[in-house]
Amino acid sequence: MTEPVPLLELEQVAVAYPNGRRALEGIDLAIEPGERVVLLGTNGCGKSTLLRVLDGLIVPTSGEFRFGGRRVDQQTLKDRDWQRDFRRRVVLMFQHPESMLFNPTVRDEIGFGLRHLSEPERADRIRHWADRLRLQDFLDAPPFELSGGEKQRLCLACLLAVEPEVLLLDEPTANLDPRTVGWLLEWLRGRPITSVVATHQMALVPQLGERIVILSDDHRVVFDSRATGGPPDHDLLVAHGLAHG
Amino acid sequence: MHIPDGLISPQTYLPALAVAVPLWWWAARAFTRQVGDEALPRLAVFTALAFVLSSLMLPLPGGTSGHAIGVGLLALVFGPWVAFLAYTLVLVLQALVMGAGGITALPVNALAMGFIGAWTAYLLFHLLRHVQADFAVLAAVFVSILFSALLVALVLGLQPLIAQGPDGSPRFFPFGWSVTLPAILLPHLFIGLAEAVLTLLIWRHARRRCWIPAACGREA
Amino acid sequence: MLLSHPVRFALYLSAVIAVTLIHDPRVLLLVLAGLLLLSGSGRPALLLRAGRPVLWILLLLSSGILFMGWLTGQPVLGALLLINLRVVVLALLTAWMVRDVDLDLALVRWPRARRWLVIVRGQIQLFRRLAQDYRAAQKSRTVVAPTLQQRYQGSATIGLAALDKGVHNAEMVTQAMRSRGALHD
Repeated sequence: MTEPVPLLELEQVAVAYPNGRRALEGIDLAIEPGERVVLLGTNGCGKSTLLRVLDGLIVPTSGEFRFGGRRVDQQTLKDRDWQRDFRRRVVLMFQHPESMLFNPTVRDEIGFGLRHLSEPERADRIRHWADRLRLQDFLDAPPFELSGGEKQRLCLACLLAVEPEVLLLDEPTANLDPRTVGWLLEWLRGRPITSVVATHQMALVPQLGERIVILSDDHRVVFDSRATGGPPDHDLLVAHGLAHG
Repeated sequence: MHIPDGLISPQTYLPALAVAVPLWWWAARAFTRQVGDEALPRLAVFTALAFVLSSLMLPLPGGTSGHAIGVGLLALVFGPWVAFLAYTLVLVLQALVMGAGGITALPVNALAMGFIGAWTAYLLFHLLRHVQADFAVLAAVFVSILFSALLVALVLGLQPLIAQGPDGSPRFFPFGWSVTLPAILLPHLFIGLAEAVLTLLIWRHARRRCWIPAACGREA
Repeated sequence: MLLSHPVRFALYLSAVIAVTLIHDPRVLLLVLAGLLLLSGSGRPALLLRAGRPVLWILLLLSSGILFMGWLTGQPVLGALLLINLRVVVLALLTAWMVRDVDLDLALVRWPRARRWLVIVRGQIQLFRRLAQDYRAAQKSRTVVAPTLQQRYQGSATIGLAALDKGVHNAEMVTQAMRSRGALHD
């Protein structure tokens, strides 16, 4: 009997930008369905880049990224049917919500990923997620008129409305108010969804996921709780700028 | 240069539109060839950038200031086709979204400032950069602004000649070249110099970022 | 009869061209009266909005026309009326269009153009905020009136920050649209 393949797998992935800046080095990471991973590291260590690799936005300079066992490279990304399916199953919330909004109204924004549904189903789902994220009063408003926090909630609504299998979140608590943070943590807890959350808010780590992966300043994985069987110790956190000495 | 509607005759703006449309099509094609399906989001951001650059204050002696145009800088950083497209779209925004009008002057402005201005800056810079890079930037932007201003002055001054009533009275912009040339070129000597200096200051810092191929010595 | 926004916008563009083909001040005066009548309530505000952007240039041009008339002894009233009326009518048309045409709805048949407009509007907000923040910071650090060189450095700093943000945001927006499946539509 063959072993089940990980849902997301990085094998010796390295990323270097055209200007020569290195962003990831020799990353080995396998994520199973339903796993909730917290990605820790200081600014500039490569957390955002890693999330973008997992979202198929950046193709590794070397190494391999596999989704459901299939290698994701430039060729795969050119396959429109595959891409469409991938984009429905894997979603990424960017750190700055303005980047993500491009539809004329909040209603259109939430409904953007639901165009494959019938009109009544689509309308239902839009209403459902607008209610859940307290956006019901803004459905006809242009996204750019919303406040920073409202935009972040709108981004969340857009992504959750497509009912993804994998949720990638880049510093989600940066612009969310405590009430919405609480809602998100509660929601994540109750779902059989695979999630990878990049953060440097240590206080929320236990609630964001069971597995902790730490990236160092030189863009490598220096800790993975799946390998060690337990959380990182304080000295390790201090050494990598994640706690005070 | 904002020209309200009603000062440029249809004998001018309609042929200008006929010239501008294929150039816009060509610019869009060149840009899409360069960036593929990323053209829409990139052009949207560059339009917003062009909009804000055109609101940059140009300090002038005496505590006064003018407004930059920004086309020269855009052309040197992103290339003349992008500068042309972005500047045209800024004119569209100003006319139709901000309500400043000038829709009939748009093809003239787009051609004079956006097309001729951008290509003049780009070509002159590349011609002179091997002489001395800073001088190339200054000369490129200064000449580009003056050349664009000259074209606008010529177009405006042409109006009384080509659009007049049976009694010879002007139907659109009422003054000829003897007025438009000094009235437009003289202030633009100062604006051109001020914007050239500002562009150089930005350019020097931008060069260190190395996301501008031209600044780093690599071709765009 | 309620016209759709695409139709309103098309009518606006046609009206602009049509007005540039009218050369009789009396006809333009009738057009002006007609526009004011049809524009509904809020006429004073509309006229003010239309007049503001063109007031100074009309004063300048009119003074020049009168001066030339005095200098040459030629009659200029016809040209004065024609040019002023045409500019005001066109400004009024534009002000009315901005008030009563929702460009987003007018572009409903062109989803890419609508998306472009949404992104531009959002990005302009960001860039404007950036420029305001920089200007406020410069002002708060200014004890003595800045020299000409310092004012240039100030403007250059804002320009460079805007360029940096432009390059970064172009990449971010592109990736975000790709991530949401909007680029392979």
